Amino acid sequence: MVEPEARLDRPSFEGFVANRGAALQRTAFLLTGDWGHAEDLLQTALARVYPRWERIVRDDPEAYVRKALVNTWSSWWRRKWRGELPTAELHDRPGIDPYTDADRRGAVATALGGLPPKQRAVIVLRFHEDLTEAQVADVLGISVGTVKSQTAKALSKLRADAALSGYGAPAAGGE
Amino acid sequence: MTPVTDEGALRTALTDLAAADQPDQPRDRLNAVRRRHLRRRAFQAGATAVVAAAAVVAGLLGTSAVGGRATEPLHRSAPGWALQWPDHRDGSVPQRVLDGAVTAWRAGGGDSHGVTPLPKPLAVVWYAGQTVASGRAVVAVFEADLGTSRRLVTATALASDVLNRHRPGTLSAPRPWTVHDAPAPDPQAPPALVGAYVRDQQPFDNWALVLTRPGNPQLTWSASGAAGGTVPMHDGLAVFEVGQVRGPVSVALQDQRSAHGTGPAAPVRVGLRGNALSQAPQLAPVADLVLGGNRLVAGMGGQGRGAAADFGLRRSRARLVLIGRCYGPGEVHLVLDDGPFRANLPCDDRQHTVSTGRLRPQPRGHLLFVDAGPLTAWSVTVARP
Repeated sequence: MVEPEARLDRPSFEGFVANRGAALQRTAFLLTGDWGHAEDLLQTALARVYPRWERIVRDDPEAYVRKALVNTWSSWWRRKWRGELPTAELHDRPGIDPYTDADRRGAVATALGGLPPKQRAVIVLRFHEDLTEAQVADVLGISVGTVKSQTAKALSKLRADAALSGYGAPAAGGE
Repeated sequence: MTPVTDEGALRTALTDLAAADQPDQPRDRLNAVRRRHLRRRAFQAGATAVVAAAAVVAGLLGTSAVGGRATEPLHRSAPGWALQWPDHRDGSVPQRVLDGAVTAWRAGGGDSHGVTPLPKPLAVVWYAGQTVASGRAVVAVFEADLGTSRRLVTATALASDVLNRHRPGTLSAPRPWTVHDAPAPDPQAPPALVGAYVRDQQPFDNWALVLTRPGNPQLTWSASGAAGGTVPMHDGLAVFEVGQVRGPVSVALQDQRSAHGTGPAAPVRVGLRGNALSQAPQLAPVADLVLGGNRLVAGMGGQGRGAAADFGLRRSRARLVLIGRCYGPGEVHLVLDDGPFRANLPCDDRQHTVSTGRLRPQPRGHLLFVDAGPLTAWSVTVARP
């Protein structure tokens, strides 16, 4: 008996981790802001989906894993496991050269880290994972309207930060 | 000029941020995930109560000598009385924070002296100082010369308690370190290993930091109730996840000679300071089980809480029997998968057999959890009647 063709296309858990691990690790990094925490988050999320893989793989495994990733991260910051110290205002960053890539990335990371967790998740899913508003709503378990409002608030905060100015500026050479 | 929208700029910024400095993918990620899964299942099976760990606890591992070979040349200047091992401080913890560990130890945070503050040491030799547990904890290992005695000290703390703060702590108000100390070992007969056991905030994810002389390429460890495994050593340092340690721990070091075919050194039993379950005495194995007319599927034995045994039979609906024998206080608790079958075996040093009923198919195989007290030795076999 020949197995249904669709089944042959389903990735094994091992294959999925090998192929998508790096991309998921990047998403985890944007959520946590730390590569060590990102790997920890990714492994925790993968361990949660591992026993359900046979069922998950019939649909869209990446969406499921992404959802587990965000939910795990949400549970972490709810329990204040981040070890981050919230501050009322961002410190001045004297000496940052806006034309240095490393400084600019650091400034972006700081700006992203300054967002409330839900807004940060919305930004990462919407603009890094390129999900639609409906997909973001599904992952976070919120309404599309909330996704829109959270996106607008987050963009407004990021606009007020100089971190993105280097990315939005015209190419060098322009007057 | 092409206009760049806010959203376009943000996409570029996020892509740049996530792509820069991305580390290599860990080679053991799959195994780490499987270990987490097993621990999660064991935890959910409710075989034992989990004590939520709010504090970080450290302890010295046993320092039984394995071989006692001459040490390698040291790449730093250290006094002759100190272990000739490298300094593994990696810069992830500021020195002022590590100095707080010395202050906490002097203030009486150790477990071998009273509450009288110790004098300022004549010299401190550092062996390790770094973050572990994905940055959630800090470990410091140092040796201090007090003039009349020398002490080897391990100290751990939650990173959130000691980093990002500016007051270094005083003798009257030491920083929140958990400290263990012991007499310093003889550098002419160095111990096989020195380590710290770091209890994480997450109940499953405890860590170990192990120091040995440089030249040991890898370390193999096993513990009743934990996964065990082999980890590479880097210049005499290994930091690895150990899960929940609930019984005796064995460690074997592989040195350069054994790497060329003579095999690792014999395992050394070590007790983890701060983890009473790891310090139970080693019990003799129970007598062999008699299968009778049953066919062996899998078997395991040990002491204390048993590791989960994945014995396959994924799609089978067969009936199985569990044959077990144990001695010691209390009973042995057997849990199949997530709990459809549970049984208790009396520990009277006699063989007992229980039937599981028909298995439910499990796509990832069946798991048997064995739970017993740390002073109970047991052997369990899964068989088909």
